[in-house]
Amino acid sequence: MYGYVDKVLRIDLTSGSISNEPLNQEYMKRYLGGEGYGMALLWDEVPHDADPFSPDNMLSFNTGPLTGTPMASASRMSINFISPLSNTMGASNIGSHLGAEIKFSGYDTIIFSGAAKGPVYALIHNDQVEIRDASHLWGKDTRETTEALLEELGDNYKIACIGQGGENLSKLACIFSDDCFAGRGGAGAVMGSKNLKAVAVKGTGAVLVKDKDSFLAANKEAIEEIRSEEYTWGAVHGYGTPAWIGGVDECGMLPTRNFRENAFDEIEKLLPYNLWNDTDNFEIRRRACYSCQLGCHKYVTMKTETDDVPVGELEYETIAALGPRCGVSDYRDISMANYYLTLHGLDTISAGATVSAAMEWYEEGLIGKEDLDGLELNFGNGKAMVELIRKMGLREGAGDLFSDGSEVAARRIGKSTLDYTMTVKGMEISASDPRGSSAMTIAFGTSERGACHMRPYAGTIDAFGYLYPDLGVTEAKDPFDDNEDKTWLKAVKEFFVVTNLIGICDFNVINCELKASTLAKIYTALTGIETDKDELLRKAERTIALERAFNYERGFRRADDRLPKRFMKEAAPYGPPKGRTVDMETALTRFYEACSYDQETAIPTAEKFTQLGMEDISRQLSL
Amino acid sequence: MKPGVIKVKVNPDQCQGCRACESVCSLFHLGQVMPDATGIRISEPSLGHFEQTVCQQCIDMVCAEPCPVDTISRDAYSGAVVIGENCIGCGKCAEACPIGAISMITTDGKKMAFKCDLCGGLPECVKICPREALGW
Repeated sequence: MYGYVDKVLRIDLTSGSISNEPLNQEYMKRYLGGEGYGMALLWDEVPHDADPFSPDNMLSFNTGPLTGTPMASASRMSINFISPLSNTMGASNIGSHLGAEIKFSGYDTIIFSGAAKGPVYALIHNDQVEIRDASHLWGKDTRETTEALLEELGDNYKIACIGQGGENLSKLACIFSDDCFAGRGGAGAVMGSKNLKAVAVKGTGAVLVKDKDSFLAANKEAIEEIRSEEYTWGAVHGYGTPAWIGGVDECGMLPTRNFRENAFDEIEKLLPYNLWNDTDNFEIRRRACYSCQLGCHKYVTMKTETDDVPVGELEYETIAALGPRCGVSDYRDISMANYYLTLHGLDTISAGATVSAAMEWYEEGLIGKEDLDGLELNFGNGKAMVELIRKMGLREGAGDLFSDGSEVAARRIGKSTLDYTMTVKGMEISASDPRGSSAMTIAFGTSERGACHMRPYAGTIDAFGYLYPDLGVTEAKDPFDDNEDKTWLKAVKEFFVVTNLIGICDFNVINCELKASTLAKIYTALTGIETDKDELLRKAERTIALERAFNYERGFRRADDRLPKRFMKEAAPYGPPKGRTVDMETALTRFYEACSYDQETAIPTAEKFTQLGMEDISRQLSL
Repeated sequence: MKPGVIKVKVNPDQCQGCRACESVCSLFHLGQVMPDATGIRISEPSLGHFEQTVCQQCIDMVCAEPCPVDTISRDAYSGAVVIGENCIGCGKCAEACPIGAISMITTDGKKMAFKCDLCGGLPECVKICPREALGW
């Protein structure tokens, strides 16, 4: 095959069996690849009511057909599992150079099933696949684990691993690879539950391209589309994702002090040039994912009196979660917290959000110093935030209470803590205030994996005023009208999901840069399979339908698509959305209409499943 | 070794390590992306500092001297030092190159030497580089 390497690797950790099989052509035709392929595996092979931590859960690494090609940002792969954090389907997307290496080693997908008796790691070097003992790695942090494996195997391996967070089954645990993360939903905890400490990959194979000349020509178009978007090719290319922080604040969408506020009074200190120009304290180096044009990843080193702290990647979401959301404005505190989260392998968004919730509980008198090992956890206390975060990664002392996220902690503490818990389906909302964008209200609410800002990030369109003519968005949208027809949002969401299927980064589409029609041309040139924009979007629509069906089987309904009550009751205090609350029910109704979802069950109607060619799924659901 | 003037020039400080250059080089020349079959290679000797290895198109063509089939020559149009079709894959040129810019690769079952040929005049790696870390 072209694009795809047509091979799936199965590693059963219970029995130790290792086998290969060709790509499932039916999955490929329906769902394209990547996240869709992993979701189809979950649907067909995992009991729909499986406990996320049982050996029944599956962890699959799914590259897309474009992964490993010179297409802009063709680094991505989707890691699929049942999420211990949200209890929904889980899909976590990761860049770095790992996905490309998996393709070069000769696999589209690697499936881990079962659970090993003791700590193991998987070694994959083309056809040589071994499950090896990892007792010497257990207890090590992500950087120590990576260094030990590179020392053991040679430095041309790409490593994915978990830190102590994943070992301790923290529901916030992520999978780390070269300072990139499969961050959200607890993929690291699932890996920990399987006693799988790491995966080491080296490949010398090839990704075949059907029509080289057409591919290179279409790729030039794609690169031109990305480079001609001023904000993308200016501030974001320069600073990376932190470039967004000032604009989000101006739009009144920057979560501040656990969403009590929607803009930060100390924002000036966090504008990215202040970090970059602070050369006495910080050194920043670009380190891009495979074949990325944008290169948003920046490696931060912080200088202290005693030594240099390898802080790692400081993303917009990280800065927002550990900064304004906790009322913290000192980059040194944010950096130290990020450093610990990187070492222990926890999702910075959910971890920062959990501390932020705990700060409000503390200020409301719902928890006290005695619950926090003596920490005075007021908003703005950066040192206390760093210490709590360090403890969360190790489940040390008070950290244990918070290491499974804010909703688990709230249920354990009781009282009125849940009123201040900013989650949807158990996952902490990321750094956009939905009161500032009707599209983000729907994105957070209806995201299949819990409150996710990338399904889609559509605040760009309704709050920032971008247009996306290629997807039918030809006129400005009203960010404050929950009653607006949301058909446009369906297409944008599907295109974001397309990036997860095909193996590229959604930062190619977040500022409406890449055309779906250009991507269709690239896919056709790569694989020789004729496709167009509509068919790409349909493959995403099918994937989303299957994800919603899976969640339905696990008991999720319309009520689970609702945002926390704060957004319906408390008006935004600042900026453009000042005085505004969210009309959740209207927003959901409009979006379900646009997607042909049943208004109560929140899954596609039987007719819609039929239209998508998924009668088998609706039959299984007895629709 | 006397480096040439017309060659892919590098600005290491600008490189972000994305390896788009490696990827497009392999695809352009071989019709497939193979990580080891690239005329330019990016390595990271220390964190966030990248090194680029690419043929210097030497004036004295030290790689051509040991070639037993005399198939390495200078392209009349681009001025690049190119490996001809008669290559038998012996690896002597790769050994002779002082900077390790020649790779030994296997495609379609045939072993051969592979290096930067300036893509016939307009290097693809220069065009794709998002940081202008490559020029010529």
